[in-house]
Amino acid sequence: MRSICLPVFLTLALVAAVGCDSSNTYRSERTARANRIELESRVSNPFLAGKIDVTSAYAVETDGLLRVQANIRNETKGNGRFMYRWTWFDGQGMKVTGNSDFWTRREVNGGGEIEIVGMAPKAACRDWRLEIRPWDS
Amino acid sequence: MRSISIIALPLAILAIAPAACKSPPERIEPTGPKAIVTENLDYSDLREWADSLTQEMLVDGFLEQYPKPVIMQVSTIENKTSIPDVPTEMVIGRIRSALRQDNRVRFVATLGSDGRDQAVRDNTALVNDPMFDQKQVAERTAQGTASVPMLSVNTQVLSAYERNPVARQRNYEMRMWVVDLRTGETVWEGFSNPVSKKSRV
Repeated sequence: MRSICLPVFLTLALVAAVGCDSSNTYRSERTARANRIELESRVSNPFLAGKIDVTSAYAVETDGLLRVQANIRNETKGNGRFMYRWTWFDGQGMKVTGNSDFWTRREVNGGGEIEIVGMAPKAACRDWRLEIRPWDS
Repeated sequence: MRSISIIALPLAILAIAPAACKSPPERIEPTGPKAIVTENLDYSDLREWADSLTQEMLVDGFLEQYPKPVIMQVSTIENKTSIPDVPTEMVIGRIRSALRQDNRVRFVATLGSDGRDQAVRDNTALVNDPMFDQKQVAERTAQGTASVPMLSVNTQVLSAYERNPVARQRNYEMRMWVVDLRTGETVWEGFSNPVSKKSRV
């Protein structure tokens, strides 16, 4: 009897632990969006990418400034905490200094999706880079 | 005597050990994972506020109705939290710097409550001062040439605190609004991303 109780208890505890932090997500069926852009990624932390991942990105220009939205999904059932940073480059590939050069902390529910938006500091910005790292503390 | 030294020696070592093991300061990324998170407003929080408010302002498009560069002043900065010294200049300064890019906005240094330069007014007293080149005084001092702002920026740092028997939560946000000084109308207003800190009681 005791040998059955322990696995059952552990399973229930595990379900309770991860289930409470997850969320349900609903969206329209429309998937083709005009400003969707192709992503090139270099993953050096597969554990993080398996947990917090960029599923798509969109770019628009607002008042001459490039604005990029990255859609993030938490692929796990537990809360995901991460930090991100945008870096901007001009048409010649040179980094454009600006106030966006800092790490921002975010938390996303298990199974949840959020959007992070970066805005170029200058009209000269033509390219961008998004870095994501774990936020453990 | 021996029994005293047996007790005293380890105590002395224990007292000295923390000082000896104290590590030297470490240079870190200002907003990176090693940055300290407190229940007050941290540097990372202020950087996020500056960025989110700048984005809100530029995305709204209200500046487009004014000729460029739009002349602005910083009017009020209110700290309505219980934190005595919130370095609001870190937020306001970065917003100013971001808006100035591409010559969208210029802030006056003659009026308002941030980034003032008393030298502009002081230099107007150089007229007829025999020490100074009067041709340069006429060229370089604000004699009827100082710009009058079109818009004024106002900010408040706000907080809301909650507490239960086991934990407390502190929530902070920055409110900002821009007034057209000609009409007196608020042409834009917005809030920064909220920052919430939870700690055990």
